[in-house]
Amino acid sequence: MKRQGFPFAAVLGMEKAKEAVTLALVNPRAGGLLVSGTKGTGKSTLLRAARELTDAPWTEIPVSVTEDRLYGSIDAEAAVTLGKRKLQPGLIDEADGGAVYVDDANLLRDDILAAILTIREAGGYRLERDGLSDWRDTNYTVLAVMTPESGTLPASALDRFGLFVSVDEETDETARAEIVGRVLDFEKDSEAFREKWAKENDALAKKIAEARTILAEVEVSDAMIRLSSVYTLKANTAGHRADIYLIEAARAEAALAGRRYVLPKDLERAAEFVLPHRMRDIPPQEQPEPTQSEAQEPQEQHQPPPPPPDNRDELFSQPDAPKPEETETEAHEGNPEDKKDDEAMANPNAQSGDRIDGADMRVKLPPVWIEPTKGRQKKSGSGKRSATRTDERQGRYVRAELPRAKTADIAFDATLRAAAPYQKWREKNGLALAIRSEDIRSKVREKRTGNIFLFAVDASGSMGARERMKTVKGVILKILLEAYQKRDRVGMIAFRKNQAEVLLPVTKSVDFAQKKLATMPTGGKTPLAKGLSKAEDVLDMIYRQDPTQDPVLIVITDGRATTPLVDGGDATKEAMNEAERIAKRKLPVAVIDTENGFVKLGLAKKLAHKMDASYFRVDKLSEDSLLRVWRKMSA
Amino acid sequence: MKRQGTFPFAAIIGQEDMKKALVLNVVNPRLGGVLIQGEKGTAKSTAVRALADLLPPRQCIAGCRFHDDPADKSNWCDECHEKYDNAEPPVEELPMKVVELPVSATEDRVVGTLDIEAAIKEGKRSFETGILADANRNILYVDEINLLDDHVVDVLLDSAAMGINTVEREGISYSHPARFSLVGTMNPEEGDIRPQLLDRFALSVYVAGEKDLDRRAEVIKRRLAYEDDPEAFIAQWQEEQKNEVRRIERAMKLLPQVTASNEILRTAAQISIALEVDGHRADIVLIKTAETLAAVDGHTEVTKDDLKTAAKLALPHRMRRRPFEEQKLDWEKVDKVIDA
Repeated sequence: MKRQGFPFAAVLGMEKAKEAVTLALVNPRAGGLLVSGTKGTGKSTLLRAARELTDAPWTEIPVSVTEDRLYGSIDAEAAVTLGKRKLQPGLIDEADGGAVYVDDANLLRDDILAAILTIREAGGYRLERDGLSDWRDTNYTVLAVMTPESGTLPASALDRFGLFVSVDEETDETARAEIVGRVLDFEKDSEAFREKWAKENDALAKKIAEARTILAEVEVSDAMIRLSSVYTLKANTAGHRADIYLIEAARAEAALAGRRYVLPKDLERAAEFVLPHRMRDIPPQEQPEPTQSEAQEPQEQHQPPPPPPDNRDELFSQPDAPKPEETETEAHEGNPEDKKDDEAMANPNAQSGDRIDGADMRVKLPPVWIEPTKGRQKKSGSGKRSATRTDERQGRYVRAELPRAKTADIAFDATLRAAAPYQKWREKNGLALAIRSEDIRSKVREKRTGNIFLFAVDASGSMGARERMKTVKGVILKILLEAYQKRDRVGMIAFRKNQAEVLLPVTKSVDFAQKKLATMPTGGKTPLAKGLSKAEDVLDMIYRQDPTQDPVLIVITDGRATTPLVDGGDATKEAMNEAERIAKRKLPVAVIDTENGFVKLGLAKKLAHKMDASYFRVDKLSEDSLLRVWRKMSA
Repeated sequence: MKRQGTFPFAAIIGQEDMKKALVLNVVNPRLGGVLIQGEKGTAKSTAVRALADLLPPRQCIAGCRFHDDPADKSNWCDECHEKYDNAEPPVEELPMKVVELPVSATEDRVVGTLDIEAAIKEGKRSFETGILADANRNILYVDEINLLDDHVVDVLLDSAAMGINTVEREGISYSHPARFSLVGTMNPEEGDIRPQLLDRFALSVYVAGEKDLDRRAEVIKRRLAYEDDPEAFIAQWQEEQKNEVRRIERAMKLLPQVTASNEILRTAAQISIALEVDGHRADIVLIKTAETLAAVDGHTEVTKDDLKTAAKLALPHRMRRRPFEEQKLDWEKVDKVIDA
């Protein structure tokens, strides 16, 4: 279906994005374009409209794409009707000489996005499918859009985009009103609206076409090559991709200006698109300003997948702003906060003194607090997962395979392609197609679920001391907020007094978790063994529901067990036994040690050791590197 | 199996915001749907299903799988273009429908897939339509939308925003119009909805159980009467239902004449700026909602009051989220901007 979309020229604002689009269209060697921005800014509208600026091929990769369509496959229809083995070209093949558009690039499967980007770099790919074997040359530019709110891109994918632009909504009132006016006009009579903008759109298309014709003649002097290296060195980019993209983008700038040589200003403009997403951490005083024109924060430049850092600060650290949760239930008792803490420290058996702490959002997460992948590799050895996997009919169909066992989840398209070449020789009983059991292919499905984070939190009296609980709540909430963006699920167990209870069943609802967390009281003794055994129950339940899940267990405690499972038992020993049982599960586990003060018993560390867990001390949670953690996890 | 008569829309007590939001989406199919949030047993699903009885007939190209609008050529499917670009299309009148997307639906059922029958019988590769094809120019209803599988949400996002379903799977390459009003219901306690999907809803309303004793009793009484004898109950409400349909039809006729002044457009922009909402959807939806409200109310010039009512429906779910804070709307701010 041909899109009679909103005209490119009629999109108000987003000037930088428009410039980047034209650069990408003029010179595919500039490495394509990624536009990132919050929802509803018109990113998709703009990039889709770019289709009308060129006569070149244009293919669109929907998130539900299957591999046969992406790479190409045997044309089953031709095989059946003509008995010929013919190629039905894939989308990246059809795009040769033009553009591939990816809406919501961060929702596309990582491997598909990676394939699109690497094949673009290589200028072709080897097709080995359905008995076809062929090298396919294809050259295209990649135009993609992402909404960072719903997940980031792997750093490797980010680096393969030549150009990057971050867009925001218009903040000027008049402009906003004009945008609404235009959108409504378009919706009321799209033909008339398109007619009205046709002239301007055509002029732009012509400009791009002209630039394309002279692009090959645009020369880059040695001085300009040196200058581009100065830019990339200053930005401390990895490898040499940036240099190439920068020069090619500058050539496109020159071609658009009708010039046949590159000037420093071309490089300067191009740098705005080429450098922001590949700048790397360097000491702040050396942070260069590649361009003076745009007031981009250096921070913003090296972490293009927002939420923007300033926003982040707002979210996480408001040391002065009073928060409702900071009111503690017993604050009315007056001052003796410190004394009470000491009491709790001295006498963790105190039954009274339940309290509710707010969350201290100033806490920082440690650089690498857990690596789910590590655990995963371990676990795959257990062989438990693959057995159940084929039963699952949920999830996205990604490719077909020869069924390993009897299957009900038949990949009909693949089966058809497998059977097609043999139709000439088969008995068909009046049908067009005879399928034999050896043709049957089953679907390989992939379910993109996030991780499950299960917290087992020590809520005993000693945790109330010295505002530890506040810190802990802060840590949990921060993890929750990240989990939210990655669509992970979170559950929480709290143990105190004589029991361990599931405070929060595994849920996606961060709101719900926040509410539960806000009202979680502390006080009483520490039934650590009970807490750990409860965690095992929940892990079992998770496993029963979905055997493919690898939950991450995070135990937050000072390790001081004071309530035994049975009267007269050794609470510490019991806890260590439970810990050993958990270790056998080979799950990723982290222990966050909340012990502080002069005399340290180091019990939590011992516990971590028994559980084969990563170990962190809450008072060391000071390095702010949420982003690094995030990247580590998604890498 | 034909479902026996549904509980009449007009007989639903209270829940005025929800009813209004639903009616607005019928009057203006281009509005963009509504998300209904609330606890269990608050007539959310009943209301959406009851809406089916109020849906007016509209012109469709006869035989078209996507019930294309004969008058809206720019949104025709390829088949209609091929057949009727140079000929007058045959027209039939079909009522708008509520098309349900079950939470358990698989992706291939939603976007469409390879037609197996045609493949076996004729060796042909052709496209079998999915739910999104049915949903074109209709209401797409997802009960418990927050429980929808992530990858199904992914495919919904694009068509909900762009009105086109693009299929590149299982040997099929096909795209077709898929403009629908997305209506979702959910109980927020059972999980969040992804912000990107949330943003696709034009309007959102919260419903709660009736608190007034008399009205609560009346709710129960009507429900019991309906269950006792659905036919008699429906007959009893027929006149009221007809009036509702007439009101909708009148508003639909008036809608094309409704205009919003520049001042109103600016006010909408001011509201969005003051509330720091993401993107431009808020402004656009505000105006569209206000226009539709004007049509329902029977006037052709959008007023500030229309805008105020529109804000109540179009903004609550667009507030930026902050940890530890409820997504709350500062009404005073809105009123101040509008009355300034």
